[in-house]
Amino acid sequence: MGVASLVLQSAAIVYSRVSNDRYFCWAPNDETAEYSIETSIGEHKLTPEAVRIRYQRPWFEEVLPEDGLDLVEFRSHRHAIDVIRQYESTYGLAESARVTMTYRINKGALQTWRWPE
Amino acid sequence: MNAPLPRNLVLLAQIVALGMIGHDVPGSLHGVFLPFLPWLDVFHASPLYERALAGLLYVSLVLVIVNRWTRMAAITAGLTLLLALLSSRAYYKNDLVYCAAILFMVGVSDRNGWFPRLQVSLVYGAAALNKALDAEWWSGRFFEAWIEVGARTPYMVETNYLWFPDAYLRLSSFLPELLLSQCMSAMVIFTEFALAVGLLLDRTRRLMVVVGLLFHATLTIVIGESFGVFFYAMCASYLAFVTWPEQALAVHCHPASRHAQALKWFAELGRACGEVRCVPTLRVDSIAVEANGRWLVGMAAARRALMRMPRTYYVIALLMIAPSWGYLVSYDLWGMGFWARTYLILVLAVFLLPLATRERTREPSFAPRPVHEEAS
Repeated sequence: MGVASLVLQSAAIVYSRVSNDRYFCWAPNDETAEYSIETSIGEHKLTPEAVRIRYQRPWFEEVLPEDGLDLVEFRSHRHAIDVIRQYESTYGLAESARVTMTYRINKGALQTWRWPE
Repeated sequence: MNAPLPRNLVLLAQIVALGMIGHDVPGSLHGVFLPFLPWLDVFHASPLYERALAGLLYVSLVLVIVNRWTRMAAITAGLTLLLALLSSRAYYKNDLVYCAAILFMVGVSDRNGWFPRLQVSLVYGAAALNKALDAEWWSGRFFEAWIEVGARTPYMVETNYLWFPDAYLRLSSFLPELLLSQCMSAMVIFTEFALAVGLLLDRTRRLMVVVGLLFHATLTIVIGESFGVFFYAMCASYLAFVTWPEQALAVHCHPASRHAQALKWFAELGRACGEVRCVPTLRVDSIAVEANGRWLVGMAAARRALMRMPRTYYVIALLMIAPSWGYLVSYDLWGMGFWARTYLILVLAVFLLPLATRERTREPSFAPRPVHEEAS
């Protein structure tokens, strides 16, 4: 069982190198991704608090805002994107929300990701 | 699988379990929310699922701590935590993944403890590889950004634990752009690669244990956080690289020595652990132990005796984790928590590192004799 665990972990590490996923591959603190999320359902824009509850962003991801970015992901910005994508394509499918995630990696240029993609 | 776990691995698992309970890991489990495995969504919004996971984790961690059915409890705790992580993408945290992995490896380990060792090595190797393949690490951009943004997190600002970010950024501003961060990045990458390999080799293992503990202690001191349970779990993991002696350590104590009395009291607190036995003698001022053909006296002897007793590790772990107990009382403890942990680490470093204190030794001919032999 120990060997199987090591083999599975090694496979996850190899997979992380050929994909953009950074889960179960011992890659903590890959990047410093500051981001903000704007979610609108119809004409109604959710408050920041409602957004955090919706996607269950933890308290330790909060950061004093700079350039409008008030959350930080110290692993990979894709973690936040994956959460939003999975939520909106499952639990939130009926609400047809529009999401804009503005982010920057390692204090680089601002980038935007939108849902629906 | 039915063989009892060696003492060092039991201690490793116990400290990890203490850290997890200290950080209320079972109590903070999510239910099913955006699972990695879609079929788990069957249990979405099921409070019973969440309570079952938390209950199972609590029970298994407690069994590990009290050293009952430790193997099975460690495996159960590891797999339960893994299931909890797979159940919620939002709950995913690397420190918890590590706790799950190391507990599982301890549970399936043989007496040599190679599975936990390989687990530790794999973590460092993968982390180093990931950093080494990232241009932002080599350029220093990640490290600089990490320090700057980390200083903006509210708990760092509220606790005013900003001495390192302030000093770092000030120093960096005097040097060519990103040079300091490039050096720090290279140092981290090299250290992790060295740990991944060096911990597995007999010749370098002892040195790498010291390097690794210093590495994690330094991170915790300068950043001001334990990265969840990670700091405790990684430091405890180094117990997988020690061989716990089978025989009790004979500590030669002067009957009137207060140091000896204190040591004896600590050793006999609760049930006798059998790790240390005190041998009264009149030929030492306080205490002495034999090590590698020489005699350690005074502080060096006390250090050797204390490190042989599992309860020493329990006390250290509880003191380290204590700031986290603030969640049970009030969050005011967080302010003191970071500094208390820093001071504790510094005190431990002075006491535990032979490099930090000169070891007073005597030649083999010094050998003290027990009191009854002295009398005759």
